[in-house]
Amino acid sequence: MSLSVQNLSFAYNCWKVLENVSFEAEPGNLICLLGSNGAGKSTLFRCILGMLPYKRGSIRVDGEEVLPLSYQERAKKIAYIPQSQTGVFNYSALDIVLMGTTSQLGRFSCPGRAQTEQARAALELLGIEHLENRNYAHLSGGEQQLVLIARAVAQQAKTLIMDEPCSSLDYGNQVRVMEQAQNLAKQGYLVLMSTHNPEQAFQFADRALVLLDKRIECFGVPKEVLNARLIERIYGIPVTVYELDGASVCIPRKTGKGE
Amino acid sequence: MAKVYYRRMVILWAILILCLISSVGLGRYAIDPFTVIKILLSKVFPISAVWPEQAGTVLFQIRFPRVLMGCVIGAGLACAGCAYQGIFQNPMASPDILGASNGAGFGAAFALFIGLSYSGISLMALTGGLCAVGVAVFISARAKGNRTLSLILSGIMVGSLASAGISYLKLVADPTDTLPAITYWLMGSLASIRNQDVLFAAPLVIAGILPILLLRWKISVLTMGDEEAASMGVNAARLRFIVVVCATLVIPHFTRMLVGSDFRRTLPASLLVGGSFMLIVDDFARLVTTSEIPIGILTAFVGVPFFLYLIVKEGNRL
Repeated sequence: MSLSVQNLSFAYNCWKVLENVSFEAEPGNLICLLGSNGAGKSTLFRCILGMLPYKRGSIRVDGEEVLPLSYQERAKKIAYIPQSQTGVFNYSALDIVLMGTTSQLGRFSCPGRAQTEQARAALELLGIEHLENRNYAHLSGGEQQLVLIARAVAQQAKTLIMDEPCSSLDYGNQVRVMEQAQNLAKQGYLVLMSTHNPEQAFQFADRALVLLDKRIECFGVPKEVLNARLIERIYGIPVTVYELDGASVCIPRKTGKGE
Repeated sequence: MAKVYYRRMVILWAILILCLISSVGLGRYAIDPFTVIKILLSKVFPISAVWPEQAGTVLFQIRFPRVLMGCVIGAGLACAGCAYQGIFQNPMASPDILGASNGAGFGAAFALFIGLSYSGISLMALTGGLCAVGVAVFISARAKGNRTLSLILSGIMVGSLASAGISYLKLVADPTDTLPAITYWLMGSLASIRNQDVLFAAPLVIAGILPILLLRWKISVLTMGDEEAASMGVNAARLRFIVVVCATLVIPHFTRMLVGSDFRRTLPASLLVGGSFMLIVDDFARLVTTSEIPIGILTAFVGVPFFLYLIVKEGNRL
């Protein structure tokens, strides 16, 4: 169930994005990946998902290299939760979740009763069974994101990759999605999530993984590794980290440029 | 959801069977539906013939091949159009998009131009269509950037090229016989369909429909986008290739309104509606005037207003 990335390097043609990236993660952890726009967070995810053919380094899930696996085998190990976006076709929330079961089906099969039960259980786990027959396109952003998480649960892969799941959600839904991610980690999933908000890492994550200058700058318990200096280096703005009732908050300092 | 779907499928089957039985009876030589059923049953059960012998001949030699062919073609086109819309993640995609129909048109026009036999024309049309799509796929595989977009763009370009080729052949064709033949072929008609045509074409069409029908769930998953589909275990590039190979054209919009977007349901429904639609249009082609109206004209007359209505009513979300 573990994820192990060793000496991974990746470049789009000649443009290097990742250099010698290494880290190891165990199930039962929620890991927040921090990095500026264009730092290579999505590239790292796409390598782990087997969508980019990396030439140097290795990525193993449960001890197996991901790249040579078939699409189906890979989908059984790793699930991907994209940012919610509405396509052009109308599906019910249940249909969307059912799609997660595809890797368990035979080549020419459609989902049957067993898969439907599985999808319903996933909706229940996320507490959104009432959305089952709603049109996915008509759901709010937060509900859509929860449906996509349910889809990953229905996929029955133990490693979940979430690409900025909170990016277009209101404050309440951000917290709801983060709590669900935390729950899943507690239930034994390995959740690897990219985020732009250091506070989410402070509050919810078991580990923070920082991608800076094409490398892993640090990897560890958020409160221990994320300090103001590091956050300033990631985002290029001055910040102060305060302790409030045991929680860490991160507030940008005035640069004087806005006045 | 499932219950509504099954009820609608039963209705669609009923409509198709109704269309089949009434279509074989309609025409300049009309046979009422009850006689049609009796003649059919007489093939299996010993029923004394109370109908003119002519009726049986018309039925088996002329009407049946035409109706069966219309049904299979309609179903095939609907299936192809539906599948294309799925793999291109766009409800406005039509089979024309990869240049198949223009390619087939060019193949047929060329065959008519050099004076090939009837089966030669069919073969050339088939080859032309396959070649056009083949070239489009070949070019797009070498394109940089968005795979889907480059496939559509190269398809449109190959289609334009084939269409220019048709125009040139029309220009240089003999205006007394070859030109009208080409024009008429391009508009299409089921009038001259005989049993041997059905035996030639129907297996091809059905061979194209079957894989698509079997893969319909994966086509549903593919509408989520290539990367998402891949993360759920679907090889997007391979699936798209299979569908393109199997497919070519048109009217699943109507079915989508009935049964929703899930291709598990849309595809079977498209087959039925496509079959019924083609039969009804062909009935009109036979009945409206004493001379046949080419079916391509009629499908456009019926299909285009419906399509425009959809754009206004539903926007691009179907």
